[in-house]
Amino acid sequence: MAESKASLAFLRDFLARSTLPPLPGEAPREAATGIAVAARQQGIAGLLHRALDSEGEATSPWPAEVREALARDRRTALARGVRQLALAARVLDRLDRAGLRALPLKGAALLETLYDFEDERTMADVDLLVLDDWPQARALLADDGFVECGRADHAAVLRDPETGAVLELHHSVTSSPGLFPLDRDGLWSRSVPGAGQVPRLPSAEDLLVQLSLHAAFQHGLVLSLAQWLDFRRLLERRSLDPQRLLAASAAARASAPLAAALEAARVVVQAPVPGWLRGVEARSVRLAGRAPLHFVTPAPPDLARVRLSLLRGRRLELLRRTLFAETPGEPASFLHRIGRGAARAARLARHWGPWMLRGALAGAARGRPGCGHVSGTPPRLAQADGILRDLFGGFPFLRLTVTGDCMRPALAPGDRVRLVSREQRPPRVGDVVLARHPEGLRLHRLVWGPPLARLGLRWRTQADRGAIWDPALEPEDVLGTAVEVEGSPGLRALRGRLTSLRSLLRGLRTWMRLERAP
Amino acid sequence: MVGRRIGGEYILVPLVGWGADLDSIFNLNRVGAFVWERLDGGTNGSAIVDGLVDRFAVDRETAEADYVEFIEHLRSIGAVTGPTPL
Repeated sequence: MAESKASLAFLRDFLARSTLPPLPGEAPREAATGIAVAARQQGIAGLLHRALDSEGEATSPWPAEVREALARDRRTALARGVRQLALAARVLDRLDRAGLRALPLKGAALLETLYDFEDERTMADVDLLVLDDWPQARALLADDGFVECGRADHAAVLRDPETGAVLELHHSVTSSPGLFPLDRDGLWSRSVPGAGQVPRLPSAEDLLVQLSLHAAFQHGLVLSLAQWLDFRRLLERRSLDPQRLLAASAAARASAPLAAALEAARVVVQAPVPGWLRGVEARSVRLAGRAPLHFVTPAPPDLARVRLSLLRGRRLELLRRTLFAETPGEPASFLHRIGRGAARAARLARHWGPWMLRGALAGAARGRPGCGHVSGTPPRLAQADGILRDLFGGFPFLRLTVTGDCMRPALAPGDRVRLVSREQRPPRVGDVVLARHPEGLRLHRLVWGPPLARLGLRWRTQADRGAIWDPALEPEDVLGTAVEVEGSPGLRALRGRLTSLRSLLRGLRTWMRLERAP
Repeated sequence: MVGRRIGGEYILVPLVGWGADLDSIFNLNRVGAFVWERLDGGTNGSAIVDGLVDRFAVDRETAEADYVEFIEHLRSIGAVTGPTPL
């Protein structure tokens, strides 16, 4: 069941008021089911169940099966959260023994201090910021068996060999490293002892700056409700030193992201922003008039506009640092940087697509169905969106086996593919996605997707060996994104450096061929 | 293997690491779900059969036969191990 606006509105109200609103009078059973599904997607199913528990069962209008489902989610979240924190602690200890300083970011830095129990807020993965030699830290973890299954310009995505949990090893808080400078020694000297498994945490002021950068710059001010709740909890439960916060935000050149994120947090969950923090940066993103749910996933973020607004006067620097981002340990020669710049420009294609095609694609759905059948999904299940969406919400990843060879060489028959939910990894051009087609589920590549969809264009997928597009998709038809393929010796990522550009070009070539066809 | 009740369906999902394996999901009917939820390692088979007789208005002999057949099926897909608990 998809997250409905009514379910999200209920949950937002719940977080803003800190008490459970009444269920709608009409069809309360259906409403409760929808709210439970949305709570799981938003990372707060455990918190919702705790609230239901405190309300008492006898007079509660919430159906027993919904309460049971939430209880199961809470137990799962507890076990998962504890194990994720254990992973953070283990890796931090490993790095510390090698003389490398590192601190947790986001959920791993918040769960034990801002929440009463680990089940109250779920984490997709564990984020750690390495303050010293990042390549050495990466090599150290590779020696320990961690498998690198993805890279961004600010972090490597690693999978823990023991638990399968995902660890993001950052050398920068945001992409485009250097745009928001990191005072590594300052971060370390201001860090404080942890209260649980994680031994050290960033100071409250540094955490707020990092959360703001993540919310505003990295996600265009669109986060899950759990992530917005982080702001509220941080402001409520940690005391902030005004001077230190303003100094930290100025040093990171993050005043505008801080102001924008705090304003959005106030709108979404009524985060108690202190008076001295309001208007800390007058020249920020214009948020007035935007409804609270515009800031909550799955609302599409207007990433480009937000970034440009945050970086007025620094837009050339944004472009330079985005195209020519420096990754520690990678060759920094001119030619290497130009090469990487071209690859990053290709990735930007997903944000700055060919606008001249606007409106021209609507008639192109003349394709035969794709051939990338997915085994193990009986027809009934293939139609059962609710089941798949629930599973995506309940597990870190889903695995399935590919049949058909229309995605060769990326995917061969028998390949076991790991998929994550579209909330965990929003689909983008070049991704292989699990999508619902009239004939059933297909694992095909997204050749046309956001943000162009916001211009009224519909999403398109195509088999890598297919000659034509699949029928047009609605965004909700895409159920998940393939991120890895299992195999020997380990997992391999499904995206290369030029995947976005190649996919976009393939999509365009197909479109042009269709346009020329008699 | 974990059981999940989703909407009106009860499904068994094999686990792979921390994830779920979509290749072999099983759909349980009401009776199957009733039995699965009681296979907690502590409740013995006789008590589960008693529950079936109470809940589904079936005679004990039929309930026992269905229970054993169901457990054998679960064993064949690796969802349970050990002797049939009756």
